[in-house]
Amino acid sequence: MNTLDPFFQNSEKPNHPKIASWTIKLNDNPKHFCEIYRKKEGLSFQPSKIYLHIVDPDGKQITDQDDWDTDLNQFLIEKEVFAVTPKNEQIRFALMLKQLFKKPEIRYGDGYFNAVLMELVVSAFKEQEGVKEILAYIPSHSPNKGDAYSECKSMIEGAIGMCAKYLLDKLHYERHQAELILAGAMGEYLDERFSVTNRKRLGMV
Amino acid sequence: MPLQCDILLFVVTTTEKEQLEKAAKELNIPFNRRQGNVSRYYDLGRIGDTNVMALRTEMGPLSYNGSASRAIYAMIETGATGLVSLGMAFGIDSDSQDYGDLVVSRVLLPYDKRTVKTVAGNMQADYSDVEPHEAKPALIKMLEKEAEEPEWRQKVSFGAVLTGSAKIQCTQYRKELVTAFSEIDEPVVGGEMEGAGLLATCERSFPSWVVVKGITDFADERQEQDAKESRELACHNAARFVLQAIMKVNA
Repeated sequence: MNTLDPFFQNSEKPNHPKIASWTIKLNDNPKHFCEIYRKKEGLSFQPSKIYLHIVDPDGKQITDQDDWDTDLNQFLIEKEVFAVTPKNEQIRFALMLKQLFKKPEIRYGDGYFNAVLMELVVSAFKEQEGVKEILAYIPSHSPNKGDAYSECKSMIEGAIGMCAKYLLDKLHYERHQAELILAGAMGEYLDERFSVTNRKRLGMV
Repeated sequence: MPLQCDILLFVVTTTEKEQLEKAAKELNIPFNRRQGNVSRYYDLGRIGDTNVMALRTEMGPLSYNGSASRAIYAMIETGATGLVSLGMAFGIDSDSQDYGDLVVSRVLLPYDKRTVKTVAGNMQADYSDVEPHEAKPALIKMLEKEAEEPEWRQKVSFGAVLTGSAKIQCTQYRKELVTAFSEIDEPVVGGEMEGAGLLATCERSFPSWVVVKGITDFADERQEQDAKESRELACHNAARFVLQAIMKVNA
């Protein structure tokens, strides 16, 4: 027996400690949903949490929770676990956008990423509820259309497209509902990123 | 015209503000005063694809107009997504660092979060609760690129920066701090006083800030004299380095 065998055979180990136990719970109980907890506290947020709610065969609800984690959320999406309400699904997808947009932001920098993102948002989301109300508070300027433009735009579109695909293919929302959730998530993300609600609360706009 | 920007620069002293203005002028960047609700700003306009503004805070993180409160309110007022603290720092090794060299915080170490104990009748500080806070990766990447330019080679140290309210003029204390954090992944490259305030602006997993400061002294018994002699050079270098880095984003 080669001591490295365990790594080459059955090498698929979960990358979050909760995944093993939640897999068993989900497999044993087909009725389940998740809930994302993200409470505003003053001008910021309390740490986000994921609650997994399972209804056992006797109708009893069992709840487990952990800190928000991209891998744990990804696991729940792969398991087709939707959020408790469409509004809560928006919060979940806003957190996903925040994570997914990290990569283009690092690669292209704050200013360029902001410019390309807002150009794309204005062209694709300007009529959508949740976004149109806050666009007036976020200035946008036309980004330089050099070599980086198509790459940056493509990365942003890819991130948004991935969310849209999860909503339709994994969580099985109707197209109209998926659009509302995606737009709502984008609105939440933009609001936090550009401090829109906080600016209003402090009377700065 | 909305009072909004992508990157917000923070300075503290008159010298820091003057040297930022000087560096902007050298690079043909405007420096126009604008009044906001919470602060007076300096509008540096659009540099490349990045809208940049600057403001002054009081020294240290804690006071009414210190870096913590100013950073929170100014970030909200301007919608800035990146914060850069400019100015003066102390170096930790006068053999390998020179006055005017730069330190950039890959991580900040808020060393005030220490426990002071009595051990065998002597006072001893325990720094084990101090956790490193990582800076914003997008800003670090932008600065790393600029640091490769011939003008800055051998002059910029990226690593852990000590941040706290103390003005340190004591070799023994500086050495104690550096030794306390010798086990962490990033080498300690310097220390300063305002970075701790920026930690209040964001979730730890999504940092918005970076600290870029020029070395004026080595936190030793000569601190005051050294800082007086080298602060213009140090502040100018930090400001010029950051502005040039912003100019070259995606250029």
